[in-house]
Amino acid sequence: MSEIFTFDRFVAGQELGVTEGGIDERLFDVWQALYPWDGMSGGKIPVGMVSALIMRAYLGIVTPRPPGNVHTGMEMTVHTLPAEGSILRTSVRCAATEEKGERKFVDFATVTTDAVDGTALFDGILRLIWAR
Amino acid sequence: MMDFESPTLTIEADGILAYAEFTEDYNPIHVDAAFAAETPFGKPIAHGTMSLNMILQAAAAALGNDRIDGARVDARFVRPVFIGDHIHVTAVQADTVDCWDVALVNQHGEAVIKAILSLASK
Repeated sequence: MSEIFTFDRFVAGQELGVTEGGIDERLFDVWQALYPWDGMSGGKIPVGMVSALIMRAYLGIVTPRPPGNVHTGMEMTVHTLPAEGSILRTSVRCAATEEKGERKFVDFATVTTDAVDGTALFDGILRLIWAR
Repeated sequence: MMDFESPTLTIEADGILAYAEFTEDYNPIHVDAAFAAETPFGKPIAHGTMSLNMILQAAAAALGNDRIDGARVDARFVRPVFIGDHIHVTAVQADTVDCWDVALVNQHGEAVIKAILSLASK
């Protein structure tokens, strides 16, 4: 079991890891049950998946985490939506840390590309209150 | 002016669990009522991105999927979303072309997410 990611382990600019993965049929089914209005269009993945895929990549890399973190903000830029069946490659780094009184904030920056041809797909910045 | 809205998403416990499965985010603040009861929220809260996802969905439905390439969203989660809440998007075009002031609004008319949506110029 890896050591838990506590606030004092993060350093601005620190590369935290890279993950690759696709969206299988089971995940599409989960998505369609949640958002029946958000299907694939033009051979591209459902548009609403972008922020969820950013979260999925971040959570797969920054683990284990302390329980009780709170997500307070998010920025994302879509360069182009992935095609159905794409394998996505996402890198995650610590963009910033900040302490405001007793609250500890961590910003994570993500970059997602097509794992096969390197096409830029989408970027994200997540801001969280870190539990400890 | 091209304002737009989204369908309404009703937050259910099963939906939170399904979203946890999609994102692999099993933070107990979302899925463990006993843990959540000890937090300032007092009960489980939905994942913030479960609502956030609806911004691009609504933009694509209203403006076309071809407008999503180049889209940028800058969002703040300003209120928790609880089981039983009904959430929808309201987007009001700003003075700047291709920019919208967006709110995810609950059944009480309260914003739970405030965001700026910018699209690439056509």
